[in-house]
Amino acid sequence: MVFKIQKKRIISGLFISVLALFFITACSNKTNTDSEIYDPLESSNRRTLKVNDALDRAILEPVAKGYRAVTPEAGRTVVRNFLRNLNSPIVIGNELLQGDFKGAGNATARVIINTLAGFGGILDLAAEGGIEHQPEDFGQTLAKWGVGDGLYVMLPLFGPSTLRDASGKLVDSYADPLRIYLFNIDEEHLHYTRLGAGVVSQREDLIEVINDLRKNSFDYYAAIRSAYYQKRQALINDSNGGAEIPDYDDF
Amino acid sequence: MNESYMKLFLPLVTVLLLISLKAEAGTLPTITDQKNSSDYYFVVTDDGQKAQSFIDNMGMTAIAFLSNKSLSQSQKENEFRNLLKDSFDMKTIGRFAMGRYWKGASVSQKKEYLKLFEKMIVEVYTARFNDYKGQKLDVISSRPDGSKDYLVNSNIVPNSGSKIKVDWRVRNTNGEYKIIDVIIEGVSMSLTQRSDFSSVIQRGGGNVEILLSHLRK
Repeated sequence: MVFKIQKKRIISGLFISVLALFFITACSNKTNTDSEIYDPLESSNRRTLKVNDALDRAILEPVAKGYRAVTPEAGRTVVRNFLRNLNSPIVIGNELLQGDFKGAGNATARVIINTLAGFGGILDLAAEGGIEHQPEDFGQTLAKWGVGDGLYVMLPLFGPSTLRDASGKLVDSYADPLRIYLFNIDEEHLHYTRLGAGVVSQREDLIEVINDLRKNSFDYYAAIRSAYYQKRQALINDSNGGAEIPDYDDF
Repeated sequence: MNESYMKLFLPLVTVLLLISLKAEAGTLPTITDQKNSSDYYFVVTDDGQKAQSFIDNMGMTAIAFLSNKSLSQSQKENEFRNLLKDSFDMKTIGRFAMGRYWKGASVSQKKEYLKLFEKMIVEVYTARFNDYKGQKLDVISSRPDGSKDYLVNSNIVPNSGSKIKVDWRVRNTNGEYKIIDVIIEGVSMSLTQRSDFSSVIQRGGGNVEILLSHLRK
């Protein structure tokens, strides 16, 4: 009974947020150049980035560095693999929603191989066999369906996002079968442990990237925004293209 | 409650298993064929092959002196500087990074900018490669992009941990190959630089001088 009510709520919630998205976001799909980045909230976004950055330097970055210091690379890889494996239902679901059946098949093969032969997902044997991890989320699915980015937003604590990607993230976390399962068996704390571990593991992965952007940009906000859009575009297209660079002759 | 859950779950699992079996049957041969995958999916022309070996050679040269223990730190940096200047088309990258503000700059500003830009790129990349820890550069494939460019795909593989996808945009100008962009995990260095520079100039009221003052520091 309890389960049924929750399921109903989730489904109607999903439906409403998807509908809302179609109304709110503009329907342009290309975001390769800056002129196409829609950032009407820039001044408040810049303030949020300042707060995020201060919090990151005070808390998250030291935690991530501490994690790196006490855990050898092999241990961190195990954590990364395990968390990725737990995320498989979301990846498979989104591949199917995108109509990418080959991707869905690969992700399914990955979860079966890694869970059974990779000791519950701590080893990524599938990748060693050539079936590599391909991150998918509902934000990407919406993009494939033609939903534009909507406005750029710097979320407090969560960092750079767009209206579309933030909505996608909400849908993913609501629809996550693992989360629903853990909530149903009253083990919510496991869900939050997994989220926390994910945040630290991801931040550890990004230590060099963020250091590099901080050090080598004049306008950190603009650099982050550009990198975010490019990364999302690469994920949506499942390929790294970069920008077209004209052949200049007027130096 | 449990029953309705299973009713939903079992068909889903069956479908997924079927898809995965089909996909595996489809993907496995290409895995074993991986060495020939290049002539499987697209035709590698001579130029593509040349662009690939250009990146390959650059990587080997860099790794050779970076891991050479008889060279001092400053010797390594010198070697690296020369390699960068030889391999990158600094003028094109710099011109691109200035974006639409290029046309508004004076001749002397352009000249100073290109000089400062090259200096900055060399410093940034030297710092990046200063913490070299035995990573390897694996050149995988290439594909033509536009009339003169090739995108060369590679991985930077550390001794342990996950590899980093790096794509090089290489331009062939009169038979000479030069790098005009480095795309790391989908993020183009040239494009990010342009966004950064444009924002600096725009927030400074459209004056190129603001960017130059940053670069002079």
